[in-house]
Amino acid sequence: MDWPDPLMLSRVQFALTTMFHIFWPLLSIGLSLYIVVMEGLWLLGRGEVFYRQAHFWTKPFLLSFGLGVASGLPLEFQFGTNWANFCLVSGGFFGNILGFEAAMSFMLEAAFLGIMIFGRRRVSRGMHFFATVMVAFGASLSAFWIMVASAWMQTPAGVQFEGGRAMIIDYFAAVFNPSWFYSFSHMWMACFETTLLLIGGISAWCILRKRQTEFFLLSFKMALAISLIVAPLQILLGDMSGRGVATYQPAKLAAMESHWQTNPPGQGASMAIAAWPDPENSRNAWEVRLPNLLSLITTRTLTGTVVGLTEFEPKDRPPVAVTFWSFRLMIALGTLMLTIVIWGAFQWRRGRLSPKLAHTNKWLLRMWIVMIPTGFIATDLGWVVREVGRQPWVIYNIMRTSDGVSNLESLPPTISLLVYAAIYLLLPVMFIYFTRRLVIKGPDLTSDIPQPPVRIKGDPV
Amino acid sequence: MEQELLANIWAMLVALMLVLYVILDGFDLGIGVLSIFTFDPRSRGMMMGSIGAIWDANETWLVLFGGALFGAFPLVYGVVLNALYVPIMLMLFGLIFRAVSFEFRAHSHRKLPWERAFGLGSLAAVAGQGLVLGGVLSQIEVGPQATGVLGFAGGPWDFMTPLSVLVMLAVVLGYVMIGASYLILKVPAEMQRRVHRMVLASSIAMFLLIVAITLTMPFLSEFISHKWLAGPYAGPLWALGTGAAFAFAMLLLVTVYRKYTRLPFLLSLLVFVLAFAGMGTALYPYLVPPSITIQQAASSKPTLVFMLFGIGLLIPVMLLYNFYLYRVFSGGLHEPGQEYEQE
Repeated sequence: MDWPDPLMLSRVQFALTTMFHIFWPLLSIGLSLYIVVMEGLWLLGRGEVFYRQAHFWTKPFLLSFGLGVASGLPLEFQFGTNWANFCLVSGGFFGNILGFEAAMSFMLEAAFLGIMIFGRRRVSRGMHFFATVMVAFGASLSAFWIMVASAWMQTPAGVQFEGGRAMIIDYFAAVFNPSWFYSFSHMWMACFETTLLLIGGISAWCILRKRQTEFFLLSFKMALAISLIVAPLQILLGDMSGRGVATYQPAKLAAMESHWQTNPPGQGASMAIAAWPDPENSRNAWEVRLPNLLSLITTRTLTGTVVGLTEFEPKDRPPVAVTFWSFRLMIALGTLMLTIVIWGAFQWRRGRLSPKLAHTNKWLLRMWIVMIPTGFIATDLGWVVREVGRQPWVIYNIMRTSDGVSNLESLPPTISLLVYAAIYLLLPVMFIYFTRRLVIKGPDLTSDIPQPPVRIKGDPV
Repeated sequence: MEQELLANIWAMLVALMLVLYVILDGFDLGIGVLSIFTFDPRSRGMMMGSIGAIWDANETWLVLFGGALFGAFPLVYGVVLNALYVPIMLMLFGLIFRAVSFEFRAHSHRKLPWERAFGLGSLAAVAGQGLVLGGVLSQIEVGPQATGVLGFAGGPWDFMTPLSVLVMLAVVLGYVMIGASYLILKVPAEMQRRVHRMVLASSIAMFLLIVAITLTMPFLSEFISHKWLAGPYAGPLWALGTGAAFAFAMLLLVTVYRKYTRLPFLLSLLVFVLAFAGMGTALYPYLVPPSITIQQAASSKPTLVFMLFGIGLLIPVMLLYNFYLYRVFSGGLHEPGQEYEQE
């Protein structure tokens, strides 16, 4: 593949835009649900502080939502501009799912967002809460449809390819294809985990500096308490994904584990904890192995068969090193997340998170601050495992990525890639800049709570 | 239901989404273009404020249009976006700038750079959309590709024709016209004079351009000339054309008179809708003239049926909550900078 080959440019452009776009849905899905909970608690009469929480976290939510809209639109159109031949083949199902996403979730979010943000003085409190719930629901529903579309590319089902075009034969089977559940739930949980790390980390920073300690102690404890469920659950869902991959995409699993030779019957497959793959010779240049572990994790038996990469033609194998190391790093980060959550819970139980003592937990708080970016990074690493591991296929075992690309010359995609790179790298910088300022300014704890409109009799509102 | 009927229904629905997008986001984008020529910070703030709560919902019609087109007519989606890579990118980059400028302006102490990003982003998006329309009308080369699959067979700069430049200018002016007439609804009395003038200037310029395009089109494309002069649709086409011209004359009259606040916007909408209906009639049964017809591009029957339930039935619901949104934010901006502040 020569550079600048339109295929390579399109692949890099797709990877870049999706990896930088996904940051924003992670946050807007997670924060919208956090805000729903806070506003709900306020309306239930649990105190004004919950209103202040909802109000404060709405600002970073809004930023991430706006950046998500801005960076998301090109993704939909990119299928047509750069992957026209993929569109021709998959449109009958894939395109229609993108349409569903727009019709069911985007419209819901976009229409109610205006009311959620600008409408506190214009609609009743109940209506405002309803709008907030609809925004959160729309955001999560959007994730559902996108993951259905993505999962279908991993495990295509319910369609027949006639004359090079996907014809639906069973809609239910196509939507609820074999990998939809673990794909969606793992991603959805990643939204929560990333958001909670951000909320917890920002709160930790403020607690450490004794800025409005009570307010941020509440959000820190909220983040901690919810993470106590989310962090271990995410690891379980990850394990479930792994076993799904082993069943439906054995080549990908073998690449994730850099596992070359299928283990002979009766002998357990060992797991490479660390390795440097050597694809030319179909082996690892060096490796550190633990006996039987791969069989145990994948099949739940000590000697279960795990298919190796050599069972597949070299042209049908995914890139190994990237897949293997992204997978390792993601697991390491997930484990680290669980560690700081348990550590925090432990300190909480010991009574060390009281308003007076909280700031003395220096190392715990510093650790939470350092961990802020790890949710975003782990999510991107997971996506690399998922998408690079699917190669060389765009629709698994049906269409090759190289057959999906548009009819392009090099110049237009080179320019668009450069412009995208500039914009998409700038967005996180701006987000950090404005969020930092919001945090330094701190929550507004004093101004009046906006009052809903008073209805005068006979006035048609 | 028959495949042929389903395909036609979907062509209508996709056209409806496009019309809704063009008139709704059209006025947002038109206001953006106008803001480039507005040097008073307070007026610029008011212009952005007048659409702050609704532009996002309006842009969503584009996302919906894209998804529906992709699902119902994958061949068209692939061919058109592939062929018009350059103008599509121009539009997307413009829309990105427009979107982020709203967010960042709200948080920034220095408003000017983001107000400029809003204006120039809107202009780029409108110019891109105009070139896309122009590119489609200038005929896209369709044929077997290197791999043998039917698809776009031309080059990336094919869209650049005299016709597409004319169409682009007309689209820019049309958006400005509809944007300015929306502003009449929103701005306080002291700004209205200026806004009325904007409506007048942009609409006259647009009218002249459209006349020029209509007169030159038949010479540029045999396909269109046949449509206008003979063929089964010549009658309705002329009727729609006359209707549009009439609505347009009314618009000029009302704007010169300067007394009405709602009427200019409604008449601008009417001009747009009639012009669109005319274009649709002229193109039928093609989606990409003169090579891809509705029937050729349509997905298979189960897809079209499923989409009819999943998307078609939701259109009234979407219209309903968009209507509610507009109702909540109806009325003028009497307290500039106050009315639509985030809280």
